[in-house]
Amino acid sequence: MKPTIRIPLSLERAIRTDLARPHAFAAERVGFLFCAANDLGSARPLVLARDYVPVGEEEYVRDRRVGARIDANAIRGARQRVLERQEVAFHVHAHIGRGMPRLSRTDIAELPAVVQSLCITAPALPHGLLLLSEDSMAALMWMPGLSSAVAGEVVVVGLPMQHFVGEA
Amino acid sequence: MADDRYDRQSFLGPDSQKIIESYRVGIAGLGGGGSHIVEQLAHVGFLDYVVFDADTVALSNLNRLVGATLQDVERQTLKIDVAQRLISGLHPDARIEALPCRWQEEPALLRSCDLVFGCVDSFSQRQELEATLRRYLIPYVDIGMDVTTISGQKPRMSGQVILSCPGHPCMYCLDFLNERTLAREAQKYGDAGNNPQVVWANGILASVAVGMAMDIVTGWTGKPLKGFYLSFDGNALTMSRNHHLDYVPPVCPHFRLADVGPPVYRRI
Amino acid sequence: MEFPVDQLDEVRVHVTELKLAEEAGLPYILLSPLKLPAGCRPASVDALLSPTGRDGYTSRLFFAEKITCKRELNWNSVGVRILDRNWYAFSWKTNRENLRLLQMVLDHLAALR
Repeated sequence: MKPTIRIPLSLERAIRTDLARPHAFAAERVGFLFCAANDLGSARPLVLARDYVPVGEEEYVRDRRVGARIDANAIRGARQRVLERQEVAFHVHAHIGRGMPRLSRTDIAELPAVVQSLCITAPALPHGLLLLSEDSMAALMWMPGLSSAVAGEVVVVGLPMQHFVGEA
Repeated sequence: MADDRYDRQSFLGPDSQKIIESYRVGIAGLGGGGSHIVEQLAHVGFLDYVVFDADTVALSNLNRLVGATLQDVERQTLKIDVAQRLISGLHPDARIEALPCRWQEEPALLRSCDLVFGCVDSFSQRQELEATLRRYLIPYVDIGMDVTTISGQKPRMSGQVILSCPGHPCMYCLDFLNERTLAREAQKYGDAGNNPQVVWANGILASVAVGMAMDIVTGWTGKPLKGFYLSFDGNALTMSRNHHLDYVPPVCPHFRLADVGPPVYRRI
Repeated sequence: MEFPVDQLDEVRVHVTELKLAEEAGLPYILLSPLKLPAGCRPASVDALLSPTGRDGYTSRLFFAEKITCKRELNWNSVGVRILDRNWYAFSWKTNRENLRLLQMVLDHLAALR
C-alpha cells in the first residue's frame, strides 16, 4: 500500500509561514492539516489537503523539556472537526534543518497518542503526522485496520511539483 | 550503459531521472495527439502509465496515429495496444494500465495519476476531465487542434496547449471553456464529426505539452511557468501566449479548495 | 447558493432526500431517489437537477441510469460525469425560464410520460 497525500502549494506555503512564526514561549509551532480521502481500500489510497488550522496562541502549554506542547483544547478542536466533517487530520510541525526530517524521541513517544485520539474519533479514516524540514517533508499515516503506521508519499501540487517519500 | 541512456537530458537536474521515473502519467485519448505524447514520454523515461481509449485503429487514423501500422488496421488493433507496444519497446518493465474505455468508466485509475494529458475530442470532455482532475489535485495538460473553413477562403488551422493546475487559472478562467462553446457543442448532440487532424500539428502541440510537463515535473528552467495557455496558429506555424492570460482572476473562483475530494453534499 | 424553502418543500414531497453540491461554480440538486412516472423502469432513480442551466439548457435533469418507459427516449450516446459520478441524459429541451424547482423537474419528467 502506498498512500499519497496531495497538498496544494498555497496550503504548503501557509503551513510553512505559520510554523515559522515565533511563539511567546514555545520553541516550535503546531497545526492541523485537514483533508478529504478516497480509494482507501486500494493499493494507492488518496488523501487531499483542504485546510490548515494553526493551534491557537493560548493552546500551548509551557514545557521547557519539549519544543512545543499543545493542550487538550487544541486536540479537542481537531477531533471535533474530524467528527463533524469526517475529515482526515494530520498533526503538523517542523524541525530545523534540511533533508528528509525525522521524528525526535519525544515525537515518537508522544505524538502517536494524539493521532490515536483522532483515529478513535473517525476510525474509518486515516490520520497521521506531517513533519517538515526546511526543504522536505515526511508523512506517517495510521490507516484504518492497520496496527502500525505507514509512510506516505507527499506531493506538493504546484509549479514545479514536489514529491517526498519518507520512511516509517 | 543505463546512465548513458539519459545523458543528453541530464541538464534537467541531478535527480531528474529518478523524479521522472516516480511519476504516474495518465493520457486520456490515444489519437493523433495522445499517441505523440505517449511516444515522447516513453523516450524521456516515464515508467508508469495509465492510458484510456476505447477505439481500434482505422485506416483514416494512419495519417497521424504515431506507432500504428497497416497491420493494425487489418487486425483492428486497439489504440491502447499500439501505445503499449510503443512504451514496452523502450521500457519492457514499464507499468502500464491500458483501459479500452473512456476514463469515466475507470475513474479510480485516473485519480491515481500524478499528471494527466487530455487529448480528447470535445469541450464537454474537457469540462468533465478538468472538474475531476481539479477535485483530485492533479495537473492537467490539454491539447487540441482544429481546422475551420469559411466559404471562399483558405482553411485556418489552430490549436491550443493549456495547463490547468490547482492554484492557477482553470479553463473557465481562461475562457477556453464557457457557456457559449459548450452550448454550441451540445446543440450538435455530442457529434464531434470528423474534425480535421494532421500529424505535424499534433506533433507540435504534443511536443509543447510534453515540454510544459517536463518543467512541471523537474523545474529545470528554474523559472515559474507563465504560459499556461499557448495558442497555435497552424497557418503561420507559431505558438504564442494567449491574451486571455491577461484577464484571469487572481484566484480561480470555479474550483475551490473546500471542494477538493469526493463531493460533499449538504441536506437542503 | 440558496433556494427558496417553499420550492424545496414542494420537491421534497416527491423524493426521500434533497441535497446540494456545487461543481465548477454551478449548483446541482441531488434528488434521491426521484419517483418516476407510471410505466417507467426502474420506478425510482437518483437524479441530478441543474437548476441554473448549463450547456445552453435553462435547466437539466440527469439520471443515475438509463430509464425505459412508454416513450422512446433519445439518450445521449455517452454519459456525463458530474460530481464524481456518471449520469445519463436524453434530448429534451424545456426552454421555459423562471420556473419553480418542482415545475422544472416535472417539465423534464414529461418526456417519460
